[in-house]
Amino acid sequence: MDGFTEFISELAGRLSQFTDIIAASALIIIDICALVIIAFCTKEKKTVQAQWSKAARHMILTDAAESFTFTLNSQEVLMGRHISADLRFPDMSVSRYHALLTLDNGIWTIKDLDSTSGTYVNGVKITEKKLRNNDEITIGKKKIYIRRVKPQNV
Amino acid sequence: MKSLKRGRNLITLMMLIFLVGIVLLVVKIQMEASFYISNSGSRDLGYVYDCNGDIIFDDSAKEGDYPDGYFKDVGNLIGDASGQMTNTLVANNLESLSNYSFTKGITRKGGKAAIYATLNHDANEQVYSAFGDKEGCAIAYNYKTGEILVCVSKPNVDPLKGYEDLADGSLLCKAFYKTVPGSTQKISTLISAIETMGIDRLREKSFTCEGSYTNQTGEVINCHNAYGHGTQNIDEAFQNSCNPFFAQLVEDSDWKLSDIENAYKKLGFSVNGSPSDSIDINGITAQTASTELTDKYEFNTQWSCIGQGMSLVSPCQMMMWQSAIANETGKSTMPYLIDHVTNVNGRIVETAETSYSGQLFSSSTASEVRSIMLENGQNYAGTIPGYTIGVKSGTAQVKDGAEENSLLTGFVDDDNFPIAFAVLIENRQQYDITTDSIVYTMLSALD
Amino acid sequence: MYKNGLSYGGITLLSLLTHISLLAVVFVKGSYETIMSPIILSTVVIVSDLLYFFILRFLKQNTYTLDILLITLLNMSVIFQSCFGGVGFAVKHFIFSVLALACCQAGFKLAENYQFIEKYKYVFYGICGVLIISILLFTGSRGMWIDLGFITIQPSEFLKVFFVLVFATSIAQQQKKKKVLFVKVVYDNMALLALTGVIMLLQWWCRDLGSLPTFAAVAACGFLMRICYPKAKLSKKLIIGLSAAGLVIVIIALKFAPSYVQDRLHVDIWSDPTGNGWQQCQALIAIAEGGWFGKGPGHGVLYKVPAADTDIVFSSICEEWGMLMALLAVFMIILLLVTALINTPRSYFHTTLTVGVCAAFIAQMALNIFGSCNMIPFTGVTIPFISQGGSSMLTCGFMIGFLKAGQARVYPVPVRPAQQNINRRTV
Repeated sequence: MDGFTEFISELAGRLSQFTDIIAASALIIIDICALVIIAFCTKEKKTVQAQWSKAARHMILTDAAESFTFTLNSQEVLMGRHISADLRFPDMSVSRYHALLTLDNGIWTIKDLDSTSGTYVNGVKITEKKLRNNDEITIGKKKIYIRRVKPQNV
Repeated sequence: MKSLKRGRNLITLMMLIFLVGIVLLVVKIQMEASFYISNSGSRDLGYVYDCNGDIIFDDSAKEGDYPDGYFKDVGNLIGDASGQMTNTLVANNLESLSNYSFTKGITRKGGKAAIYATLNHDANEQVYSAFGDKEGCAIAYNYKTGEILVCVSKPNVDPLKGYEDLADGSLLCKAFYKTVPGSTQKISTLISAIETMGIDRLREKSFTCEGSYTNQTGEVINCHNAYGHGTQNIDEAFQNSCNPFFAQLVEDSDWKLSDIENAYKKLGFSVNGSPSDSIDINGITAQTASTELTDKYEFNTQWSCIGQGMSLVSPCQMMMWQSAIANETGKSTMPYLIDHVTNVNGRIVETAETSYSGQLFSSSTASEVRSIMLENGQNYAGTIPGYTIGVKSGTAQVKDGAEENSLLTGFVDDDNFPIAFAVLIENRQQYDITTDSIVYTMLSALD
Repeated sequence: MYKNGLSYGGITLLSLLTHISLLAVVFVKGSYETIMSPIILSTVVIVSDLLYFFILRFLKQNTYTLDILLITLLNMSVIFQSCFGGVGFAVKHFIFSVLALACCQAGFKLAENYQFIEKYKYVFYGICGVLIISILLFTGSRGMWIDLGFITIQPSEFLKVFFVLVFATSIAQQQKKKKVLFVKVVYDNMALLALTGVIMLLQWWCRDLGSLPTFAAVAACGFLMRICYPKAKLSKKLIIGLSAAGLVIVIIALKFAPSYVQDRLHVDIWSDPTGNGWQQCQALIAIAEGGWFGKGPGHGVLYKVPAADTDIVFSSICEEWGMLMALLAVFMIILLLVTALINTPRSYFHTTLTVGVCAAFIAQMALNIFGSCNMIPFTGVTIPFISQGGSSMLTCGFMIGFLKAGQARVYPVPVRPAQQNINRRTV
């Protein structure tokens, strides 16, 4: 406690000098600058998201009952049973790494990853196929759909 | 996205580790900044004061600022900041002396960083001059608290006069280095004997001295009294400091060599090269004691127990044993030189606390040895009048018998004046100053 | 106009204000012979600031905060570097800071499209090979610089950039497994393992022990990101368990290591303050003398010590500007990396690239700062952007470009909608 009051009085002693006031205010300005920039960074996040949604054509994955929606938020989406898969189906009919969705120039492509039960699009077994809106994807026993949702701000 | 989150977690983890490192760095710098500054060329060092407020170290002093020889008695104990001596108070506590704080920076004038030492400069000077033309050392401390009051070593160095043309041993404070203990070693042997046999069995034993004793391996142990002391028990032999008695005690069948070894080791001896701790006095390293015990019927081992042979004890260690005896606890009071330390703003940042060693011997042994030593102290009523003391003297042959050192170690039995001391005069001749008179000077100066 | 539709006026003004406040400190606390030297410094800093921000408006990208942070940091470091031992103007550092910004843009353009890099990955492996051979041929076994007469370059610094780049991977690539004997492996991973091994041996041979931990950190993070898609069961728990066990083994090994190893790892610099430990002792003393607020720009004495503006630059800044300012500068570099946590990359490739860049940056900063303060062995590495040094500035610029690629990339939007969607039809 003594040490603390001593520190405060020493600090006060230093900050009573003109030059140290300037130095301290420089420190504070840099602090503010850094924090404001970082705060602004979160604001940018929205524009990045908007740009991305546009590029990804506002696509989501869902099932027939629309019991879940999975927003396609990155250029590669890994589907499978393994815990590290982005979209996980805890079902033995699905391979650990079953299929991969990729975005390229605004087009989503599905690619089968040598899965045991195979990947089907609209009932046809595929190894690689460009997807269209409302396509039905079958992996293992699971059926999912790729859908375009209306952008909220339009 | 799971896969992307993994990367984010990894980056966060690395940053956290780095930030923890930065925090540690800031803490480390805060803790050690004074130390760094004390190693820099632009430092400003405060004073060391003695217990009465006299300055005993002044970094900015030049010759002529103080009376001639003012620092002469403390030169190799307090030392200076020049780096010439490493085992001194200032050299080991530069950090506490630097007029610096991390926020304020270095204070050039009026910094209040200082060490308030326990030493009594006035008494120290008196003891120093009492040595006259003799060399040696004297150390005394308060055996209840551990404050070192007097610590003199001669020859010494005056830091203001530089380091040229110094006599041998000027740069070392002899109180902290091992020397041949002479008959003061009989205290340790007595303690060991009581510890292993018990006082009652020890008192039953009596041996005869005829001026010399031929031991079982056929070698002759001489007594300082050529006419012999006759038949004595332990109390009488201790007072007479009788060598043949102690030689026969070592040979006694009730006493095993391993017992002696263990008791010595407990006292802090390094026996036959076994490791022993050194004493740390505010950064100053003091040696303890060492001896060699190989065969209890053999000449050298017996002499080691009597005080010659391979036995070596530092005066500081002798004095500390006295505290264990005088306090009747069997634990030494640890000595210290720094009472308190103030920082650059004058705030007390460090205060000394009394601490004790481990159990060196039992407290009942301590009481017995105490009464035996007090009895012996009665013989000094003429030379050290006015004090009830318990002492043991010693004469040690050094340089292959060419020189004799005179030693005296003991304590004052007074709750209001609890002083334990050890004094050494080197190469003492017959009509030279005695250890008794130095002790008397010391006690009167401190009283 | 900024291309993402946001207004950055306030932030650029703040960034400018930051530099002005630093320059104010130079004016009132600095040590200079004529008033001209701080005036020249101020003019250059402010004019270059305005120019940077003007150019920034025309760049087509999604985010600009990373660039603004980088500009703030670079001109801060120009001011720092100009003041060591007396206010002047660090022309060389300024030129390299401009080049670093250019490199940042180049790195951004290079790494923007990951399919492009995946396709030509062998080219980058080739560049790594060329750099390794150039180290073998030109630097000699105990050196790390190639002297071209007018400039000395450090190939291991450039190697770092391409090392980070080849470590980045997409998920698709990790799924291309081939069966070799009994185990399924990704050829790319094997190639990287070999490359890592070669580089480690090379660093050891060069005694470039400062770069070695940086490469090791990049490789460790890279492999950790790669093996998260294994066919085998290598769960998170196992990885954590293994690394914890490894750490314990390392600690135990260090504890019982022979004394000469321990001496090498923990040097007691204060026992030899005029010999081996001189640089570090002076650095620590300088930090202590600087305190929280510093002696003032130009008032330091540490500039007399070798490598005052590179290896022990943290202490130099501490001495003249104070510990708070030095910590803030480090904080700014961390913030550069934090932007990657806020605006996360949209692909696994860029995530791994970002992790690699962060590993390299953090490892370098840690080695430099903790090394110069005697917490870990002292190795001569630079703090990104703060230390003086051409190769280091350029490569750090490149790496920040990679970071930017992850967050500022503008994705191509198809011109022709693929198909009318049902939602729209029902509206």
